[in-house]
Amino acid sequence: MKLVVNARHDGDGLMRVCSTLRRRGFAIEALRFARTAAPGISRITVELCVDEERSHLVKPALLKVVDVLDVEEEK
Amino acid sequence: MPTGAEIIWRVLEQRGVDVVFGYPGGAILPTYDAALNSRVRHVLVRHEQGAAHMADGYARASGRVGVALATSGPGATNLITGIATAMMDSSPIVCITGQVTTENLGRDAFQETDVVGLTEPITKHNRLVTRAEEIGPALVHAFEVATSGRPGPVVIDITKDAQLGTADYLVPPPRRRSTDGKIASAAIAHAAELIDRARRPLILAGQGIVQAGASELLRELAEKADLPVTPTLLGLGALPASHPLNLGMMGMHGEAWVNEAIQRADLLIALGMRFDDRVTGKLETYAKQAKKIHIDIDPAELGKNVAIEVGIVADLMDALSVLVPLVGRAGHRSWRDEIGSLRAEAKKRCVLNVAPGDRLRAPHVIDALRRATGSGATIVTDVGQHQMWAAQYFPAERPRQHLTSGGLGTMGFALPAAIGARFARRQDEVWVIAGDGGFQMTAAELAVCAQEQLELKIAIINNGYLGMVRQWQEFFYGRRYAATPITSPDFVKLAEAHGLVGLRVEHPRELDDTIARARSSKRTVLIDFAVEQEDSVYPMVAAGRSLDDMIRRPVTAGRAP
Repeated sequence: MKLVVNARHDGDGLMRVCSTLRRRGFAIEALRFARTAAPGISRITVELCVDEERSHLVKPALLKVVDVLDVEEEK
Repeated sequence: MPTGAEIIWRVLEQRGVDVVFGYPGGAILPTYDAALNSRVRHVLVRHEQGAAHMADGYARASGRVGVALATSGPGATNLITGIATAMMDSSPIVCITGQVTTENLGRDAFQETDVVGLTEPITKHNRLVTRAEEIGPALVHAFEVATSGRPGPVVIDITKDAQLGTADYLVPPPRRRSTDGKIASAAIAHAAELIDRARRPLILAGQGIVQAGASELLRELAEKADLPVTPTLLGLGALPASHPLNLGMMGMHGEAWVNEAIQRADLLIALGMRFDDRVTGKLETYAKQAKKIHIDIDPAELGKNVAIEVGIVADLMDALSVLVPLVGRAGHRSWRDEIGSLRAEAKKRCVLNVAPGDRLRAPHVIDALRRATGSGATIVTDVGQHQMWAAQYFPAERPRQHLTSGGLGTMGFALPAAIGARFARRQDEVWVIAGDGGFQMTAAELAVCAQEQLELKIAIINNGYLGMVRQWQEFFYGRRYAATPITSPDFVKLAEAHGLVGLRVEHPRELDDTIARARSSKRTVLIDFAVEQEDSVYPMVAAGRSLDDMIRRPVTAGRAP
């Protein structure tokens, strides 16, 4: 599955997102990290290898990260 | 302009903090220096793990934020077990750690450690602060995050130069704890419909009810629709243990009739709990006949372990105030009778029904404590056999009466957490119930009882073994007792060496008088109960096994085999 995550980034946002995914056992296959036009906000595009029956758990897990603003799944 | 250190104390005072638990050191010294001008009381712990557990115990007993303070490096790393304990049990604590100066960050400076990196997986949120002007907003945010939604621990790591720097900061008034109040009305209506149609319903009551303050609504729901209730370990007290609809605890060491009822139920109404593996046993065989309604404040919990029919993300107070009027009055007499007959059969095996003779047995000790103290006392248990016996034989009559480390199962929790609870409930009787193993892990905190002149009561259930592990070795490893026999210091002398009172009970006839003697003292009293060495906790569902495969109490009523 492919997700686009907008997160506050003061140096730790990327670490928090990656750590959350690793902890829950969602393997990262590809990752892109970029500035956005909004200051202090970064966009993380991540492709994951996740079992179908566990895929519904990814978004709520990421939304618990205080720095994460929103998560969209790209079909 | 105030210094960063002074801002820390201003925020704590403004947020109603009356006590912090901590240990000074180089990187947090500016904050300690400013503490002398603050009205917040500081309690000097003997190990920073104790500070985190004390903050946690304070939070669990009061519902308010507990605060711990530590220096950089080893001070911060010593907090880790306590922070992880708070995280697993959703306890709102704020830990403030000193950090080396900003210019020394990343240079492997003396007592430097990556606190944000270390605590990221075990906190709800954490943050490094390097400038004085960031301290106020970061701390205020920490209090908001710790208490909002599903509560949890927050760590704020503050460099020494930020504490020494100056800044203008006006502490804003606290935001009222608010939930958005929006409840998915279609889902609630569906839940009410399932409850109305159910013939064998059960409420699974978790800590979320206690944290939402929704115990009264739980009682209304249960009574209105005649729904039997079983609490989780952390949900004990959500409904009084003596309430006729309260069946007792579920799970690995839950009552046999409860686990049997779960397997026979056609509807589980899970409120503020998370279907932990110690609750469900093997998931594939868990409550196969039951539809599940799950209401929890944390969206990440819905459908995490168990497939559900109706999921509602809400504070239990909000959800139940909508749900209760929607459900119809009902009676489930035959279902309650069915559970009642399971219960009657199991009760025959109850160890309390057997005259102890000359043998001092842990369940009798715990029952004597319950009889003596009733619903007034707050009890704080450690982890192991005594913890499960306390859940079975000293269940709670009110919310926040029975405190324990559930999710992380942290041995050494009880004494420091009880010290924290003591500060939160200064009028109450507070009892530690701990095993001889766990107690030794944090026994140094006895010195805090002495220095702070606390009135705490401590029951050590001393069987000379790491009892729960010994029990697993007995059941599953052919009684090969590797590393579980444990010697202890003379606990009576240990208490006396700290200037506290130590008593010992070796025979059942001494039980009631010794407990009465301890209760009549205004000092910290430790009682060493020398109990049977090889008693086991029943019933038991082995790890990973189905709830259908309970190891039942022997009909000889738990006599050690």
